[in-house]
Amino acid sequence: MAPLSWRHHTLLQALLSRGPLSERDFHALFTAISGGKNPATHQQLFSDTLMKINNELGYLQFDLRACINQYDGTVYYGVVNNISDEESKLGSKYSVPQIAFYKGLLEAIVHEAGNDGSITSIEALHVRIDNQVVIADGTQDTQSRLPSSITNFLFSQKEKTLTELIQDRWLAYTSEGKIGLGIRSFLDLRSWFRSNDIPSCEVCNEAGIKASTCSKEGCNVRIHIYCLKKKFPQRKVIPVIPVPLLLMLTLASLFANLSAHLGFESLSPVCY
Amino acid sequence: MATSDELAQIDISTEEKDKLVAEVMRYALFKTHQNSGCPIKREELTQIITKNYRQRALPALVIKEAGDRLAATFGYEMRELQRTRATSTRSGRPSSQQPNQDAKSYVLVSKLDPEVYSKYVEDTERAHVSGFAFVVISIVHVAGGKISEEDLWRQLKRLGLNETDENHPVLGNNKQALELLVQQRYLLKEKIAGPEGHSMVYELAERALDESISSKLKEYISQVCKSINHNLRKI
Repeated sequence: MAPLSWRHHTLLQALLSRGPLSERDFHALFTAISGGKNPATHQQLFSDTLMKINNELGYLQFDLRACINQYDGTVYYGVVNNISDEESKLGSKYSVPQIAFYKGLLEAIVHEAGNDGSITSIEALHVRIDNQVVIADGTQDTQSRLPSSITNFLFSQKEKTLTELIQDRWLAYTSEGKIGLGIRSFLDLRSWFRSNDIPSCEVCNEAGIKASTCSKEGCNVRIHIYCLKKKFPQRKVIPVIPVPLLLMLTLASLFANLSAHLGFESLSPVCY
Repeated sequence: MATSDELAQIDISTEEKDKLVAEVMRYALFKTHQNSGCPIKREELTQIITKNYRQRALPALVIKEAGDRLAATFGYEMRELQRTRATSTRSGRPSSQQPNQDAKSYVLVSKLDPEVYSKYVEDTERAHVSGFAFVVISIVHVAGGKISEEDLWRQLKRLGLNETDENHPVLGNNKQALELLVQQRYLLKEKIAGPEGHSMVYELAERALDESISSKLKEYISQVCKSINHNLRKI
């Protein structure tokens, strides 16, 4: 056990007290407590500081990690728990039906909303929760054995829970006024996205909740908007070439030369 | 940190001990988050250890190391509070030499410099909760450490906080906001029999009586009083 300094403690306590912080706020905090050393110009110091913190957090199965809000590309930092045990079940203030409702919303957003990653408030309030609860013995008559807190979860309780989930940043309003995943969901649910076969972005390999998809029929490639912009920062066009998109991306330098010759107009990647 | 000799005497390996310490630390952190900072009873922590281990000295050793690690890793002090008992249940005999271990509870308190804490750590979205706690505890303190429920709400009404208001724009349900202070052990709520039947009384509990809070409270109250006196002299 290597004691951390008050600077490390400030970073950790700020994240635990205030919740996930945007990159701008976290960098500003780091700059303030390190006597003016901005992470943008002191990347090694910043990385070493986070590594030192994570070396101590590993003992508790915690991680200080960064992730991207897929709706606007903002990077956030937060402390996440890596294992599910009896202690971590205490970490939620939500009741069983509320957690079932959240799970239903999560599935609606990542599966039914396609690559848009959002649903309307009306759709959210009509999400069913009785199909989210699994009765252990799996007998045929399980529906009638569901607790009344699940079967009698009122519309008004759903509205209240939805408000709380948004306030606590598990969900969030998108710029179009629909409901999408909040930053806490992006931070905490990486392994859930993988285990539930959510298609990944071809560039960053993170779950493509809000992503652009290939317009070619039958092609399931999806890429985050910010990954697209990073991959092709100079151009407004993405060339169309007669190779699978995956191969195109791995041949990035060849692609850059081809695009200069071909000069296509569309932003959406299309495979032939 | 426990030495290998101590562990050998208790007949537990370092790995097993480390696992228990991590479980206690995780419990303290998650429980604090779940119950908004209400004290955690020592018996809850000892149960984590005693459910699988019978060594008598082990709980104290593990809880102490968990406290040391919380301080080293997070800068949190696992402050021990002795549970305040209601006046009506306190015996007239002097307290025994050995305080009851089961009456102990713990709260996680930041060890950061107060200026650093308020500037960088404090969640300003929750400032209204701290403000309300400060006002209520100050009222009870100025009333001599004990006040009837009726008198407390009469004072709070002067601040625009009605007992029956369930939709206050800042606090939401005012009664629940007060009840949270009881759960967080800032206040003790007691039913006492009087000439006109039963009534409820609020007393300061162990968290408000803890030196770290009570000394600052007295300082803030005296600042308010000085400010009032100063303004009165101007009239």
